[in-house]
Amino acid sequence: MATILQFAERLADGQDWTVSERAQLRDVGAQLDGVDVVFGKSEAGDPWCVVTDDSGEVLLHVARIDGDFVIHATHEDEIVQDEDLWSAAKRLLGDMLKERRGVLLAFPPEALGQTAVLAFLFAAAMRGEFDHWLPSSVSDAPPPAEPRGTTAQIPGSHTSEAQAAREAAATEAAGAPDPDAPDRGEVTREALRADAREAQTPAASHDAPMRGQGQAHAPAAAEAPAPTGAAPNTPTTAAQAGPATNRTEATGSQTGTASFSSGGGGDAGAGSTGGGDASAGGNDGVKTAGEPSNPQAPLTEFVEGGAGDDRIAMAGNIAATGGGGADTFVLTLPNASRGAPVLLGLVADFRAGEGDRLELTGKGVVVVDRAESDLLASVRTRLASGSASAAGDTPVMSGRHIGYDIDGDGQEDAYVLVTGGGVGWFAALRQAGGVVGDGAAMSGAATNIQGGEAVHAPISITAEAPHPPPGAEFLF
Amino acid sequence: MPRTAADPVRAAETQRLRREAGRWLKSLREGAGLTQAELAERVNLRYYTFVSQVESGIGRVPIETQALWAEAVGMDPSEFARTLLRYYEPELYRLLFTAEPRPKAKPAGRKIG
Repeated sequence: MATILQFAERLADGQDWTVSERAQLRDVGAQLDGVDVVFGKSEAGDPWCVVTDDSGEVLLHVARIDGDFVIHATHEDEIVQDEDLWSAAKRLLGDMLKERRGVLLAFPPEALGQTAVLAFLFAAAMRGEFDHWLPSSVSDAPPPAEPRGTTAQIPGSHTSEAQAAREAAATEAAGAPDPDAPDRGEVTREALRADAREAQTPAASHDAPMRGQGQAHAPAAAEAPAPTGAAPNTPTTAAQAGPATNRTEATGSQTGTASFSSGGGGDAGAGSTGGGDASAGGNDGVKTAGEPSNPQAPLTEFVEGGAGDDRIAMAGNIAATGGGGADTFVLTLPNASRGAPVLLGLVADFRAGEGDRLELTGKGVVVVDRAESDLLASVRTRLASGSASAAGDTPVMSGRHIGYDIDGDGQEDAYVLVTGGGVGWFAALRQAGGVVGDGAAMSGAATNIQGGEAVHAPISITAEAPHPPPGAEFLF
Repeated sequence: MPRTAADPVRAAETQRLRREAGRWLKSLREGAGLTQAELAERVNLRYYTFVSQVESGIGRVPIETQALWAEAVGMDPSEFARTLLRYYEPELYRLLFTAEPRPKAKPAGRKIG
Protein backbone atom coordinates (compact mmCIF):
# COMPACT_ATOMS: atom_id res chain seq x y z
CA MET A 1 0.00 0.00 0.00
CA ALA A 2 1.20 3.43 -0.79
CA THR A 3 3.40 5.10 1.72
CA ILE A 4 4.58 8.56 1.00
CA LEU A 5 7.96 8.25 2.52
CA GLN A 6 9.20 11.54 1.27
CA PHE A 7 6.70 13.16 3.54
CA ALA A 8 7.03 10.84 6.42
CA GLU A 9 9.95 12.17 8.34
CA ARG A 10 9.87 15.87 7.75
CA LEU A 11 9.42 16.69 11.35
CA ALA A 12 11.83 19.51 11.71
CA ASP A 13 9.86 22.26 10.05
CA GLY A 14 7.23 22.25 12.72
CA GLN A 15 4.35 21.80 10.34
CA ASP A 16 4.37 18.15 9.66
CA TRP A 17 2.67 15.66 11.90
CA THR A 18 4.38 15.40 15.19
CA VAL A 19 5.53 12.11 16.52
CA SER A 20 2.62 11.87 18.89
CA GLU A 21 0.11 12.85 16.24
CA ARG A 22 1.44 10.16 14.00
CA ALA A 23 1.19 7.71 16.81
CA GLN A 24 -2.40 8.65 17.44
CA LEU A 25 -3.23 8.45 13.79
CA ARG A 26 -1.66 5.05 13.53
CA ASP A 27 -3.60 4.07 16.58
CA VAL A 28 -6.80 5.18 14.93
CA GLY A 29 -5.88 3.36 11.77
CA ALA A 30 -4.97 0.20 13.60
CA GLN A 31 -8.30 0.20 15.33
CA LEU A 32 -10.11 0.37 12.04
CA ASP A 33 -9.16 -3.21 11.32
CA GLY A 34 -6.48 -3.91 8.85
CA VAL A 35 -6.12 -0.57 7.15
CA ASP A 36 -3.21 1.36 5.82
CA VAL A 37 -2.17 4.73 7.16
CA VAL A 38 -0.54 7.16 4.79
CA PHE A 39 0.91 10.51 5.74
CA GLY A 40 1.22 13.39 3.36
CA LYS A 41 1.62 17.07 3.23
CA SER A 42 0.04 19.69 1.07
CA GLU A 43 2.05 22.08 -1.00
CA ALA A 44 1.32 24.73 1.59
CA GLY A 45 2.78 22.55 4.28
CA ASP A 46 -0.33 21.36 6.04
CA PRO A 47 -0.11 17.72 6.95
CA TRP A 48 -2.75 15.24 6.07
CA CYS A 49 -3.21 11.59 6.67
CA VAL A 50 -5.52 9.04 5.20
CA VAL A 51 -6.63 5.71 6.49
CA THR A 52 -7.45 3.33 3.73
CA ASP A 53 -8.87 -0.11 3.46
CA ASP A 54 -7.04 -2.86 1.67
CA SER A 55 -8.60 -1.79 -1.61
CA GLY A 56 -7.00 1.59 -1.29
CA GLU A 57 -10.30 3.30 -0.66
CA VAL A 58 -10.07 6.14 1.78
CA LEU A 59 -11.92 5.62 5.01
CA LEU A 60 -10.68 8.65 6.84
CA HIS A 61 -8.99 11.83 5.79
CA VAL A 62 -7.33 13.72 8.60
CA ALA A 63 -5.71 17.09 8.19
CA ARG A 64 -4.27 19.71 10.44
CA ILE A 65 -5.18 23.06 8.99
CA ASP A 66 -4.54 26.28 10.86
CA GLY A 67 -4.00 24.33 14.02
CA ASP A 68 -7.30 22.51 13.93
CA PHE A 69 -7.73 18.89 13.16
CA VAL A 70 -10.21 18.01 10.47
CA ILE A 71 -11.34 14.45 10.16
CA HIS A 72 -13.56 13.29 7.35
CA ALA A 73 -15.17 9.89 7.46
CA THR A 74 -15.70 9.37 3.79
CA HIS A 75 -18.28 6.61 3.87
CA GLU A 76 -20.49 8.49 6.24
CA ASP A 77 -19.44 11.81 4.75
CA GLU A 78 -19.14 13.27 8.18
CA ILE A 79 -16.59 15.87 9.13
CA VAL A 80 -15.44 16.76 12.58
CA GLN A 81 -13.15 19.60 13.49
CA ASP A 82 -11.48 19.91 16.83
CA GLU A 83 -8.40 21.35 18.43
CA ASP A 84 -7.45 17.95 19.74
CA LEU A 85 -6.78 15.10 17.41
CA TRP A 86 -7.91 12.33 19.67
CA SER A 87 -11.03 14.20 20.67
CA ALA A 88 -11.90 14.70 17.06
CA ALA A 89 -11.42 11.05 16.33
CA LYS A 90 -13.51 10.07 19.31
CA ARG A 91 -16.27 12.43 18.29
CA LEU A 92 -16.34 11.03 14.85
CA LEU A 93 -15.77 7.38 15.52
CA GLY A 94 -17.21 7.09 18.98
CA ASP A 95 -17.06 3.66 20.44
CA MET A 96 -15.10 2.35 17.53
CA LEU A 97 -12.04 3.77 19.20
CA LYS A 98 -10.73 2.30 22.35
CA GLU A 99 -8.82 4.34 24.81
CA ARG A 100 -5.13 4.24 24.44
CA ARG A 101 -3.35 1.78 26.57
CA GLY A 102 -1.19 2.67 29.42
CA VAL A 103 -1.83 5.59 31.64
CA LEU A 104 -1.58 8.91 29.98
CA LEU A 105 -2.41 11.92 31.98
CA ALA A 106 -2.51 14.95 29.82
CA PHE A 107 -2.98 18.32 31.33
CA PRO A 108 -3.97 21.33 29.37
CA PRO A 109 -1.91 24.49 29.29
CA GLU A 110 -4.44 26.32 31.38
CA ALA A 111 -3.69 23.97 34.21
CA LEU A 112 -0.15 25.18 34.34
CA GLY A 113 0.51 27.43 37.22
CA GLN A 114 -2.37 26.28 39.29
CA THR A 115 -1.53 26.09 42.89
CA ALA A 116 -4.35 23.81 43.72
CA VAL A 117 -3.19 20.29 44.06
CA LEU A 118 -5.00 17.71 42.07
CA ALA A 119 -4.78 14.27 43.44
CA PHE A 120 -4.57 11.19 41.42
CA LEU A 121 -3.35 7.71 41.89
CA PHE A 122 -0.58 6.70 39.65
CA ALA A 123 -0.74 3.44 37.91
CA ALA A 124 2.61 2.02 38.57
CA ALA A 125 3.67 -1.51 38.46
CA MET A 126 7.24 -2.07 39.30
CA ARG A 127 7.80 -5.23 37.45
CA GLY A 128 10.65 -6.89 35.77
CA GLU A 129 13.66 -7.74 37.73
CA PHE A 130 16.99 -8.06 36.12
CA ASP A 131 19.90 -9.85 37.52
CA HIS A 132 23.53 -8.91 37.26
CA TRP A 133 22.86 -5.38 36.23
CA LEU A 134 24.73 -3.17 38.50
CA PRO A 135 28.48 -3.04 38.61
CA SER A 136 29.66 -3.45 42.15
CA SER A 137 31.61 -0.24 42.00
CA VAL A 138 28.44 1.72 41.53
CA SER A 139 27.22 0.89 44.96
CA ASP A 140 30.04 2.86 46.46
CA ALA A 141 29.29 5.95 44.53
CA PRO A 142 27.92 8.70 46.69
CA PRO A 143 24.50 9.91 45.76
CA PRO A 144 24.66 13.24 44.02
CA ALA A 145 23.24 16.10 45.90
CA GLU A 146 20.47 18.03 44.31
CA PRO A 147 18.88 21.22 45.45
CA ARG A 148 15.28 21.23 46.42
CA GLY A 149 12.77 22.09 43.85
CA THR A 150 14.70 20.38 41.19
CA THR A 151 13.55 18.45 38.28
CA ALA A 152 15.67 15.88 36.61
CA GLN A 153 16.06 16.72 33.02
CA ILE A 154 17.98 14.92 30.41
CA PRO A 155 18.92 16.88 27.38
CA GLY A 156 17.88 15.04 24.31
CA SER A 157 18.81 15.27 20.75
CA HIS A 158 16.65 18.28 20.23
CA THR A 159 18.20 20.38 22.90
CA SER A 160 19.44 23.63 21.53
CA GLU A 161 22.90 24.80 22.26
CA ALA A 162 21.58 27.65 24.32
CA GLN A 163 19.48 25.31 26.35
CA ALA A 164 22.35 22.95 26.74
CA ALA A 165 24.46 25.80 28.01
CA ARG A 166 21.79 26.83 30.46
CA GLU A 167 21.39 23.29 31.64
CA ALA A 168 25.11 22.86 31.95
CA ALA A 169 25.23 25.97 34.08
CA ALA A 170 22.38 24.69 36.17
CA THR A 171 24.13 21.38 36.55
CA GLU A 172 27.26 23.11 37.66
CA ALA A 173 25.34 25.16 40.14
CA ALA A 174 23.58 22.10 41.39
CA GLY A 175 26.83 20.36 41.94
CA ALA A 176 27.82 22.78 44.67
CA PRO A 177 25.03 22.73 47.20
CA ASP A 178 25.18 25.13 50.05
CA PRO A 179 25.90 23.15 53.19
CA ASP A 180 24.49 25.91 55.32
CA ALA A 181 21.09 25.63 53.85
CA PRO A 182 19.27 23.14 56.01
CA ASP A 183 15.99 23.67 54.32
CA ARG A 184 17.32 22.24 51.12
CA GLY A 185 16.22 18.98 52.55
CA GLU A 186 18.22 16.49 50.63
CA VAL A 187 17.12 13.01 51.25
CA THR A 188 19.88 11.36 53.14
CA ARG A 189 20.76 7.76 53.21
CA GLU A 190 20.02 7.76 56.89
CA ALA A 191 16.57 9.06 56.23
CA LEU A 192 16.07 6.47 53.60
CA ARG A 193 17.19 3.73 55.90
CA ALA A 194 14.89 4.99 58.62
CA ASP A 195 11.98 5.09 56.28
CA ALA A 196 12.84 1.73 54.89
CA ARG A 197 12.78 0.34 58.39
CA GLU A 198 9.42 1.88 58.94
CA ALA A 199 8.22 0.45 55.72
CA GLN A 200 9.22 -2.96 56.97
CA THR A 201 7.35 -2.69 60.22
CA PRO A 202 3.98 -4.31 60.76
CA ALA A 203 2.53 -0.90 61.30
CA ALA A 204 3.05 -0.23 57.67
CA SER A 205 1.45 -3.40 56.58
CA HIS A 206 -1.92 -1.80 56.10
CA ASP A 207 -0.42 -0.12 53.11
CA ALA A 208 -0.11 -3.39 51.33
CA PRO A 209 -2.99 -4.57 49.23
CA MET A 210 -5.26 -6.90 51.05
CA ARG A 211 -5.09 -10.38 49.72
CA GLY A 212 -8.40 -11.57 50.86
CA GLN A 213 -10.67 -12.03 53.76
CA GLY A 214 -9.53 -14.25 56.55
CA GLN A 215 -5.91 -13.58 56.11
CA ALA A 216 -4.25 -13.49 59.46
CA HIS A 217 -2.27 -10.38 58.76
CA ALA A 218 -1.31 -8.30 55.88
CA PRO A 219 2.17 -8.85 54.62
CA ALA A 220 4.90 -6.45 55.39
CA ALA A 221 5.59 -3.94 52.75
CA ALA A 222 8.70 -5.71 51.62
CA GLU A 223 6.76 -8.87 51.10
CA ALA A 224 3.74 -7.29 49.61
CA PRO A 225 3.10 -7.80 45.96
CA ALA A 226 4.13 -5.01 43.74
CA PRO A 227 1.53 -2.36 43.30
CA THR A 228 -0.13 -2.77 40.02
CA GLY A 229 -1.44 -0.26 37.63
CA ALA A 230 -4.18 1.96 38.88
CA ALA A 231 -4.92 -0.11 41.94
CA PRO A 232 -7.52 2.13 43.46
CA ASN A 233 -7.09 1.06 47.04
CA THR A 234 -3.41 1.30 47.39
CA PRO A 235 -2.86 3.78 50.16
CA THR A 236 -0.04 6.17 49.87
CA THR A 237 2.64 6.29 52.44
CA ALA A 238 5.50 8.60 52.83
CA ALA A 239 7.69 5.90 51.54
CA GLN A 240 5.62 5.55 48.45
CA ALA A 241 4.49 8.98 47.65
CA GLY A 242 6.33 12.09 46.96
CA PRO A 243 7.45 13.99 44.01
CA ALA A 244 10.68 13.53 42.31
CA THR A 245 11.58 17.08 42.15
CA ASN A 246 11.74 18.39 45.62
CA ARG A 247 14.44 17.18 47.85
CA THR A 248 13.02 17.88 51.24
CA GLU A 249 13.52 15.73 54.24
CA ALA A 250 11.06 12.96 54.53
CA THR A 251 9.18 12.74 57.73
CA GLY A 252 8.47 9.10 57.66
CA SER A 253 4.81 9.64 58.16
CA GLN A 254 2.96 6.62 57.04
CA THR A 255 -0.58 7.66 56.67
CA GLY A 256 -2.76 10.53 55.98
CA THR A 257 -0.23 12.95 54.70
CA ALA A 258 -0.65 13.92 51.18
CA SER A 259 2.43 14.25 49.16
CA PHE A 260 2.65 16.27 46.10
CA SER A 261 4.59 16.50 43.00
CA SER A 262 5.69 19.90 42.10
CA GLY A 263 7.49 19.72 38.99
CA GLY A 264 8.98 23.09 38.95
CA GLY A 265 7.62 25.85 36.90
CA GLY A 266 4.24 25.64 38.44
CA ASP A 267 2.94 22.70 36.60
CA ALA A 268 -0.21 21.20 37.78
CA GLY A 269 0.72 19.24 40.81
CA ALA A 270 -0.31 15.76 41.42
CA GLY A 271 -0.29 13.58 44.39
CA SER A 272 -2.09 10.98 46.31
CA THR A 273 -4.05 11.27 49.43
CA GLY A 274 -3.42 9.16 52.40
CA GLY A 275 -6.63 7.38 51.85
CA GLY A 276 -5.53 6.29 48.49
CA ASP A 277 -8.51 7.59 46.63
CA ALA A 278 -7.62 8.81 43.26
CA SER A 279 -8.83 11.75 41.39
CA ALA A 280 -7.61 13.79 38.58
CA GLY A 281 -8.35 17.32 37.78
CA GLY A 282 -7.54 19.63 35.02
CA ASN A 283 -6.52 16.71 32.95
CA ASP A 284 -8.36 16.68 29.72
CA GLY A 285 -8.10 13.47 27.95
CA VAL A 286 -7.00 11.40 30.88
CA LYS A 287 -6.26 7.97 29.65
CA THR A 288 -6.33 5.04 31.90
CA ALA A 289 -5.69 1.48 31.25
CA GLY A 290 -6.09 -1.82 32.81
CA GLU A 291 -3.52 -4.21 33.95
CA PRO A 292 -0.81 -5.21 31.59
CA SER A 293 -1.60 -8.57 30.18
CA ASN A 294 1.71 -9.90 31.30
CA PRO A 295 3.24 -7.66 33.89
CA GLN A 296 6.29 -9.85 34.26
CA ALA A 297 7.35 -9.17 30.71
CA PRO A 298 8.89 -5.73 30.48
CA LEU A 299 8.07 -3.34 27.72
CA THR A 300 4.88 -4.93 26.63
CA GLU A 301 2.92 -1.72 26.84
CA PHE A 302 3.66 1.14 24.52
CA VAL A 303 2.27 4.46 25.52
CA GLU A 304 2.32 7.42 23.22
CA GLY A 305 1.69 10.88 24.43
CA GLY A 306 -0.33 13.47 22.68
CA ALA A 307 0.64 16.67 21.00
CA GLY A 308 0.56 18.72 24.14
CA ASP A 309 2.10 18.50 27.56
CA ASP A 310 1.48 15.03 28.82
CA ARG A 311 1.94 13.28 32.10
CA ILE A 312 2.65 9.67 31.52
CA ALA A 313 2.70 7.30 34.42
CA MET A 314 5.42 4.83 33.76
CA ALA A 315 5.77 1.30 34.93
CA GLY A 316 8.20 -1.49 34.47
CA ASN A 317 6.51 -2.87 31.44
CA ILE A 318 5.92 0.43 29.72
CA ALA A 319 7.88 2.13 27.01
CA ALA A 320 6.63 5.58 26.24
CA THR A 321 7.04 8.49 23.95
CA GLY A 322 5.79 11.81 25.09
CA GLY A 323 5.38 13.28 21.66
CA GLY A 324 5.31 16.99 21.34
CA GLY A 325 5.18 19.40 24.19
CA ALA A 326 6.76 19.34 27.59
CA ASP A 327 6.07 15.87 28.82
CA THR A 328 6.43 14.54 32.31
CA PHE A 329 7.25 10.91 32.76
CA VAL A 330 6.20 9.89 36.20
CA LEU A 331 8.28 7.14 37.71
CA THR A 332 6.99 5.39 40.75
CA LEU A 333 9.62 3.92 42.97
CA PRO A 334 8.86 0.80 44.90
CA ASN A 335 8.69 1.26 48.62
CA ALA A 336 11.15 -1.46 49.35
CA SER A 337 14.10 -3.00 47.66
CA ARG A 338 13.45 -6.22 45.88
CA GLY A 339 16.98 -7.33 45.57
CA ALA A 340 17.66 -6.97 41.91
CA PRO A 341 16.96 -3.56 40.43
CA VAL A 342 13.55 -3.21 38.92
CA LEU A 343 12.80 -1.35 35.76
CA LEU A 344 10.65 1.73 36.15
CA GLY A 345 10.06 2.14 32.45
CA LEU A 346 11.67 3.23 29.24
CA VAL A 347 11.36 6.73 27.89
CA ALA A 348 11.92 6.63 24.17
CA ASP A 349 11.82 10.25 23.10
CA PHE A 350 13.12 12.33 25.94
CA ARG A 351 13.69 15.88 24.76
CA ALA A 352 14.81 18.29 27.36
CA GLY A 353 14.64 21.06 24.84
CA GLU A 354 10.90 20.64 24.73
CA GLY A 355 10.66 20.60 28.49
CA ASP A 356 10.46 16.87 28.99
CA ARG A 357 11.35 15.71 32.44
CA LEU A 358 11.33 12.78 34.75
CA GLU A 359 9.38 12.95 37.92
CA LEU A 360 9.66 10.51 40.73
CA THR A 361 6.96 9.36 43.01
CA GLY A 362 8.56 7.70 45.95
CA LYS A 363 11.74 8.11 47.81
CA GLY A 364 15.21 7.52 46.58
CA VAL A 365 18.42 9.04 45.42
CA VAL A 366 20.24 8.72 42.17
CA VAL A 367 23.16 6.38 42.55
CA VAL A 368 23.67 5.44 38.94
CA ASP A 369 23.76 7.68 35.93
CA ARG A 370 25.60 6.11 33.12
CA ALA A 371 25.55 6.14 29.38
CA GLU A 372 24.55 2.94 27.69
CA SER A 373 25.64 2.27 24.18
CA ASP A 374 22.89 -0.29 23.84
CA LEU A 375 20.05 0.73 26.03
CA LEU A 376 18.19 -2.52 25.57
CA ALA A 377 21.13 -4.76 26.26
CA SER A 378 19.71 -6.13 29.44
CA VAL A 379 16.09 -6.23 28.50
CA ARG A 380 16.17 -7.15 24.86
CA THR A 381 15.74 -10.82 25.49
CA ARG A 382 12.64 -10.12 27.49
CA LEU A 383 11.30 -7.53 25.14
CA ALA A 384 9.12 -9.67 23.01
CA SER A 385 7.08 -12.52 24.19
CA GLY A 386 7.60 -15.23 21.65
CA SER A 387 9.31 -13.01 19.17
CA ALA A 388 12.95 -13.33 19.93
CA SER A 389 14.00 -12.64 16.38
CA ALA A 390 12.10 -9.41 16.34
CA ALA A 391 13.63 -8.45 19.65
CA GLY A 392 17.07 -9.22 18.35
CA ASP A 393 16.44 -7.02 15.37
CA THR A 394 15.55 -4.03 17.45
CA PRO A 395 18.00 -1.34 16.44
CA VAL A 396 20.67 -0.56 18.93
CA MET A 397 20.06 2.76 20.56
CA SER A 398 22.21 4.48 23.08
CA GLY A 399 20.82 6.27 26.06
CA ARG A 400 21.12 6.65 29.75
CA HIS A 401 20.56 4.34 32.62
CA ILE A 402 19.51 6.15 35.74
CA GLY A 403 19.38 4.13 38.90
CA TYR A 404 17.86 4.94 42.24
CA ASP A 405 18.61 3.75 45.70
CA ILE A 406 15.43 3.55 47.70
CA ASP A 407 16.56 1.99 50.96
CA GLY A 408 19.69 3.93 51.65
CA ASP A 409 22.19 1.16 51.19
CA GLY A 410 23.79 2.78 48.20
CA GLN A 411 22.71 -0.01 45.93
CA GLU A 412 20.59 0.56 42.92
CA ASP A 413 17.08 -0.67 43.52
CA ALA A 414 15.23 0.70 40.55
CA TYR A 415 16.15 2.30 37.30
CA VAL A 416 14.77 4.00 34.27
CA LEU A 417 16.08 3.83 30.73
CA VAL A 418 16.01 7.04 28.77
CA THR A 419 16.83 7.81 25.19
CA GLY A 420 16.08 10.36 22.57
CA GLY A 421 15.70 7.58 20.06
CA GLY A 422 12.48 8.90 18.70
CA VAL A 423 9.59 7.60 16.72
CA GLY A 424 11.39 5.25 14.43
CA TRP A 425 13.14 3.43 17.15
CA PHE A 426 9.99 3.35 19.17
CA ALA A 427 8.16 1.83 16.24
CA ALA A 428 10.79 -0.85 16.01
CA LEU A 429 10.49 -1.36 19.72
CA ARG A 430 6.76 -1.73 19.40
CA GLN A 431 7.21 -4.32 16.77
CA ALA A 432 9.71 -6.19 18.85
CA GLY A 433 7.30 -6.00 21.70
CA GLY A 434 4.72 -7.75 19.64
CA VAL A 435 2.75 -4.74 18.56
CA VAL A 436 2.20 -4.88 14.85
CA GLY A 437 0.15 -3.13 12.27
CA ASP A 438 1.99 0.07 11.63
CA GLY A 439 2.97 -0.60 8.10
CA ALA A 440 3.34 2.96 7.07
CA ALA A 441 4.99 3.92 10.26
CA MET A 442 7.48 1.15 10.06
CA SER A 443 8.28 2.03 6.52
CA GLY A 444 9.38 5.40 7.63
CA ALA A 445 11.15 4.23 10.69
CA ALA A 446 14.60 3.73 9.31
CA THR A 447 15.26 7.38 8.76
CA ASN A 448 14.55 8.21 12.31
CA ILE A 449 16.57 5.35 13.61
CA GLN A 450 19.54 6.61 11.75
CA GLY A 451 18.85 10.12 12.84
CA GLY A 452 18.13 9.25 16.40
CA GLU A 453 20.61 10.68 18.78
CA ALA A 454 21.50 9.30 22.08
CA VAL A 455 21.05 11.18 25.25
CA HIS A 456 24.61 11.69 26.25
CA ALA A 457 24.39 14.75 28.38
CA PRO A 458 24.22 14.26 32.09
CA ILE A 459 21.15 14.86 34.10
CA SER A 460 20.75 18.51 34.57
CA ILE A 461 18.94 20.22 37.30
CA THR A 462 16.59 23.06 36.89
CA ALA A 463 16.74 25.66 39.54
CA GLU A 464 13.09 26.39 39.75
CA ALA A 465 11.87 26.44 43.27
CA PRO A 466 8.71 24.58 44.12
CA HIS A 467 5.67 26.17 45.56
CA PRO A 468 4.42 23.57 47.93
CA PRO A 469 0.94 23.79 49.28
CA PRO A 470 0.64 23.86 53.03
CA GLY A 471 1.26 20.52 54.56
CA ALA A 472 2.87 19.07 51.56
CA GLU A 473 5.86 16.88 52.04
CA PHE A 474 8.36 17.12 49.36
CA LEU A 475 10.46 14.08 49.45
CA PHE A 476 12.50 14.89 46.40
CA MET B 1 -15.96 0.87 8.83
CA PRO B 2 -16.91 -1.19 5.84
CA ARG B 3 -14.11 -3.12 4.43
CA THR B 4 -13.80 -5.08 1.29
CA ALA B 5 -11.52 -7.95 0.59
CA ALA B 6 -9.20 -6.96 -2.19
CA ASP B 7 -7.35 -8.91 -4.79
CA PRO B 8 -3.74 -7.81 -4.28
CA VAL B 9 -3.02 -7.73 -7.99
CA ARG B 10 -6.06 -5.66 -8.67
CA ALA B 11 -5.32 -3.40 -5.74
CA ALA B 12 -1.84 -2.76 -7.05
CA GLU B 13 -3.21 -1.91 -10.47
CA THR B 14 -5.75 0.38 -8.92
CA GLN B 15 -3.01 2.09 -7.00
CA ARG B 16 -0.92 2.54 -10.09
CA LEU B 17 -3.77 4.07 -12.01
CA ARG B 18 -4.61 6.41 -9.20
CA ARG B 19 -1.08 7.64 -9.03
CA GLU B 20 -1.30 8.33 -12.73
CA ALA B 21 -4.55 10.14 -12.18
CA GLY B 22 -2.93 12.16 -9.43
CA ARG B 23 -0.10 13.23 -11.63
CA TRP B 24 -2.54 14.15 -14.36
CA LEU B 25 -4.66 16.17 -11.98
CA LYS B 26 -1.65 17.94 -10.62
CA SER B 27 -0.43 18.83 -14.07
CA LEU B 28 -3.86 20.22 -14.91
CA ARG B 29 -3.94 22.34 -11.79
CA GLU B 30 -0.45 23.64 -12.21
CA GLY B 31 -1.20 24.33 -15.84
CA ALA B 32 -4.12 26.43 -14.72
CA GLY B 33 -1.89 28.32 -12.30
CA LEU B 34 -3.84 27.32 -9.25
CA THR B 35 -2.68 26.40 -5.85
CA GLN B 36 -4.24 23.47 -4.13
CA ALA B 37 -6.12 25.80 -1.84
CA GLU B 38 -7.39 27.90 -4.71
CA LEU B 39 -8.60 24.85 -6.55
CA ALA B 40 -10.29 23.54 -3.44
CA GLU B 41 -12.08 26.83 -3.03
CA ARG B 42 -13.33 26.78 -6.58
CA VAL B 43 -14.51 23.23 -6.22
CA ASN B 44 -16.12 23.95 -2.87
CA LEU B 45 -14.11 21.33 -1.09
CA ARG B 46 -14.48 21.39 2.65
CA TYR B 47 -10.77 20.92 3.20
CA TYR B 48 -8.14 21.71 0.68
CA THR B 49 -5.76 18.95 1.68
CA PHE B 50 -8.04 16.67 -0.24
CA VAL B 51 -6.47 18.05 -3.40
CA SER B 52 -3.08 17.02 -2.17
CA GLN B 53 -4.44 13.62 -1.32
CA VAL B 54 -5.84 12.84 -4.75
CA GLU B 55 -2.81 14.31 -6.46
CA SER B 56 -0.78 11.85 -4.44
CA GLY B 57 -2.77 9.04 -5.94
CA ILE B 58 -4.91 8.27 -2.95
CA GLY B 59 -8.64 8.22 -3.30
CA ARG B 60 -10.52 9.71 -6.15
CA VAL B 61 -12.17 12.90 -7.20
CA PRO B 62 -15.84 12.62 -6.22
CA ILE B 63 -18.25 12.58 -9.11
CA GLU B 64 -20.20 15.51 -7.74
CA THR B 65 -17.15 17.74 -7.85
CA GLN B 66 -15.83 16.73 -11.24
CA ALA B 67 -17.66 19.36 -13.23
CA LEU B 68 -16.42 22.19 -11.07
CA TRP B 69 -12.97 20.68 -10.94
CA ALA B 70 -12.86 20.52 -14.72
CA GLU B 71 -14.00 24.09 -15.06
CA ALA B 72 -11.45 25.24 -12.55
CA VAL B 73 -8.62 23.78 -14.54
CA GLY B 74 -10.09 24.87 -17.84
CA MET B 75 -11.11 21.52 -19.17
CA ASP B 76 -14.28 20.22 -20.68
CA PRO B 77 -16.19 18.45 -17.91
CA SER B 78 -17.15 15.57 -20.10
CA GLU B 79 -13.61 14.94 -21.19
CA PHE B 80 -12.41 15.42 -17.65
CA ALA B 81 -14.86 12.86 -16.30
CA ARG B 82 -14.09 10.44 -19.05
CA THR B 83 -10.38 10.64 -18.36
CA LEU B 84 -10.90 10.15 -14.69
CA LEU B 85 -13.14 7.22 -15.37
CA ARG B 86 -10.35 5.62 -17.31
CA TYR B 87 -8.16 5.89 -14.27
CA TYR B 88 -10.69 5.11 -11.62
CA GLU B 89 -12.86 2.51 -13.29
CA PRO B 90 -10.87 1.13 -16.18
CA GLU B 91 -13.17 -1.78 -16.77
CA LEU B 92 -16.23 0.42 -16.88
CA TYR B 93 -14.38 2.78 -19.17
CA ARG B 94 -13.53 -0.10 -21.45
CA LEU B 95 -17.10 -1.27 -21.51
CA LEU B 96 -18.46 2.17 -22.23
CA PHE B 97 -15.98 3.51 -24.66
CA THR B 98 -13.70 0.93 -26.15
CA ALA B 99 -14.89 -2.59 -25.73
CA GLU B 100 -16.53 -4.56 -28.47
CA PRO B 101 -19.77 -6.18 -27.47
CA ARG B 102 -19.23 -9.53 -25.88
CA PRO B 103 -20.88 -12.53 -27.47
CA LYS B 104 -24.09 -13.51 -25.83
CA ALA B 105 -23.72 -16.18 -23.24
CA LYS B 106 -25.47 -19.41 -23.97
CA PRO B 107 -28.39 -20.08 -21.74
CA ALA B 108 -27.62 -22.18 -18.77
CA GLY B 109 -28.95 -25.68 -18.69
CA ARG B 110 -28.00 -29.16 -19.42
CA LYS B 111 -28.92 -31.61 -21.93
CA ILE B 112 -31.44 -34.10 -20.83
CA GLY B 113 -31.75 -37.34 -22.60
